[in-house]
Amino acid sequence: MANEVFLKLSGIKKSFGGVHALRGVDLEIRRGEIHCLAGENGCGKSTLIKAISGVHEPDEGTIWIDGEEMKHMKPMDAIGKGIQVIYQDFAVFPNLTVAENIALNGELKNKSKFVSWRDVHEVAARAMSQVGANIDPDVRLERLSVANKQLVAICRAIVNDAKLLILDEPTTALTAREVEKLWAIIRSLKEKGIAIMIVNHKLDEIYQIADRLTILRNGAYISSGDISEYDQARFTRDMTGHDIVEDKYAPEKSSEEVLRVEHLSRKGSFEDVSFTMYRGDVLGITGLLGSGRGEIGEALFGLAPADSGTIVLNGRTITIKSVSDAIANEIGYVPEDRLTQGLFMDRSIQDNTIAASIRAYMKGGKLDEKGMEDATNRWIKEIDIKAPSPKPAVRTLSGGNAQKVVIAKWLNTNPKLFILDGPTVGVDIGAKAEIHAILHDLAAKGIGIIVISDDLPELVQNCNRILVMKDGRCTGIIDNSIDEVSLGKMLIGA
Amino acid sequence: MNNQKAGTARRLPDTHILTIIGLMALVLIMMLFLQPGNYFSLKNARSMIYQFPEYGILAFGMMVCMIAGGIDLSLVGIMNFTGVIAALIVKHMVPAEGGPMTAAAIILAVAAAIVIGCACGAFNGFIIGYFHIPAMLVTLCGLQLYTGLAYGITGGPAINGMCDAFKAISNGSIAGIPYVLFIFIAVFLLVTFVMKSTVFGHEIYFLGSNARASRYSGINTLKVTIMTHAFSGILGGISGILITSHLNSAKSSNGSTYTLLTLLIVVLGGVHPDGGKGKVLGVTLSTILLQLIANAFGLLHMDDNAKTFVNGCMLVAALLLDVYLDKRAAKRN
Repeated sequence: MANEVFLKLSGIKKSFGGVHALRGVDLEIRRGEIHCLAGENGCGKSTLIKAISGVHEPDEGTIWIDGEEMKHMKPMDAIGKGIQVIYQDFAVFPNLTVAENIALNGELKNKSKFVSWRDVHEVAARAMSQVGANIDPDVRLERLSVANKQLVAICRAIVNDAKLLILDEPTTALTAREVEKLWAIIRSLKEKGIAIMIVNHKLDEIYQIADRLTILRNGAYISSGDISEYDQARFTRDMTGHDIVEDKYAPEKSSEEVLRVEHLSRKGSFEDVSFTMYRGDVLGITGLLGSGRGEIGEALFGLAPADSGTIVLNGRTITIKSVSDAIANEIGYVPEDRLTQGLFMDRSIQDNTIAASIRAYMKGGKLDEKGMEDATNRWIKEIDIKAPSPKPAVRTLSGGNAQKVVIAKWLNTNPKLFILDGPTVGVDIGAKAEIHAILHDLAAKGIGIIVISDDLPELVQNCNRILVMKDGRCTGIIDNSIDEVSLGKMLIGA
Repeated sequence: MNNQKAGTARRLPDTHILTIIGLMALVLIMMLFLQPGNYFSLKNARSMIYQFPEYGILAFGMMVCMIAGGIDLSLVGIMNFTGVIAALIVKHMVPAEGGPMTAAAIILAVAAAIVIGCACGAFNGFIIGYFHIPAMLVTLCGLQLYTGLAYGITGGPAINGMCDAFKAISNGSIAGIPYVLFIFIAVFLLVTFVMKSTVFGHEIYFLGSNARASRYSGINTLKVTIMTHAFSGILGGISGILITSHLNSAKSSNGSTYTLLTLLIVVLGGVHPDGGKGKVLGVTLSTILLQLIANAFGLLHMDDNAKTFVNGCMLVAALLLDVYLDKRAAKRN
């Protein structure tokens, strides 16, 4: 049964109103293999998933499932063929219980008019034991952690007789330990002969899990093959179309103090955190989810202010009790979730860019339209946001460019301290390097840069010092001569 | 990759405004055949102008709240409450023999209506923003509350018999042009300026398109919510003056159909029910369109219920158009 092709795509093309999302993609997925689909953001990965799951009908090309050519495939046809997609938001029902989420879909599929509650529990229990999950079936889904919600989605897919399970960036919201657990589950599904396709662009994770790999770039098929055929250089080259060399960040030593934080505490979040930053420093803050790493950023920006401790910015002791205090003290903050916290998706690039600095454009009782447009144009040019003008809605931009807009919003306030939580999550390799370059530039100009992240390779490469949090306490501040493996061990306290 | 294309396709003329203009043309052409003599007369135009400003201004209030991501169902309550207070002031303070005190009393009545409207709106906004209760519930309670207050003051029967100077606000004209047209234009310009050229106006749009990101951008969302509803309340107060003067009567149950009518105007005018989107011009044109239709129905001696039915059809059509436009925009990405 192994090596038998389950899904085959050939020459798939799809455009949306003149934009070529897919320009001829081939893909072959075999039973019982773990196949990674990699590519930068905007390369057409999500469109391809939608073509496979029957949401979008391709303009050209052929899809074979289980040897049968599929024509005018609808989502129900794909589900009937055993194709199950787990999207990033898991598409589950938050106000239903775990058991209902797992089993109800199946009841619908069997076209039964009545729900047998005993069956619901039985089906849910069976599915959970198959993946080794142990979740209370009567808890409402919204109360589960991200990792458990994902497990529920996987259980639901199994109940629906999945033959091909597609996971769209399944690890973005997981901690390192949860990722390990997910991989174990996926390997056990593979043993059962289920084909798995994982959309991912994190190199290290792809090496951990994939059997085979297909790379897309700009809507086109680039290469495919066994994971052993790809070394890091080829992977990067195929993904981006050029070689990227990143050296570790090493600023000139300076004794000019930018920020000093002493004994900062917030009950229930973190305790007694102290550090000092000098001119040129890019400080990384890391730790597992719930270690207090994000909360330090929120405290410095006044979203969840600290109860005690001292903050000295450029030699001046400041008090931050609210976001307006932080902004008055020239602090900028790029939040973890740019879609819900950072951006006004339906507003223009210009509106987003001036959102935090709009008061500066009030001139003679009237907003200075020209000034706002000029500022936006300047940032578009300066940090290379790929947009034709300040007018398009941010929704039309790719992840990397949208993140640059969030950065531009704060740069336009001339911050003295700039805190970024997960600045490159969901950003492709090319834009990632550009964002890092922007941050290094800013640091060189004397702006304090704090990067909060769980992306260890990113931290080691781009921060000259890294603060490690564990259970709300700082367990050490180290320089970036450390390698990511030892840093990873520090996180879990081993 | 696809932002280049999407960017250039953005600058289309506003479909909503074009649709409204098209519908207006349709009504005018139909009337050209059905009742050209009566419909296209100066007298008819003036009768229309006397009618729409009072609810057109209410619709602006509804619009700002909806752009901010909320709604204001209490506007009619505010209108009647402020109208009753203004009527009381005019009745008790204008001397029977006239004189300079008349103007002072009327100015006081107008000021009182605006200040009280502002206070009612601010109260709504505070409850919404501070306790995080949905605007729909708070302003529905507000409607009952302010209607009740108006009822409590009048005790039921209307306050009638205002002085001529006060009645002239909504019923008088200069060179054949009703005063209320100037008032409406002034309010239109004010609202346009606020929404387009002030920090507050932009903050309303920000709040409506993403309340969370607003907070993360340093916008004081409680303050903006209070100010938005206070602004709406001020517009309710202005309408209160207009309707009281227009009807020469103030009571708690005037204009009770205006709540739904203003909702219809605002949605038809292209304000997105989820907030963040909408233009003052669209709402203004939509107000005028509904007046054209109402007037045409009146001249044709059609049943009032038929008008309600047609309005309902247009609202459904407007919502479907929104869904269609959203889908098309989503497809482009």
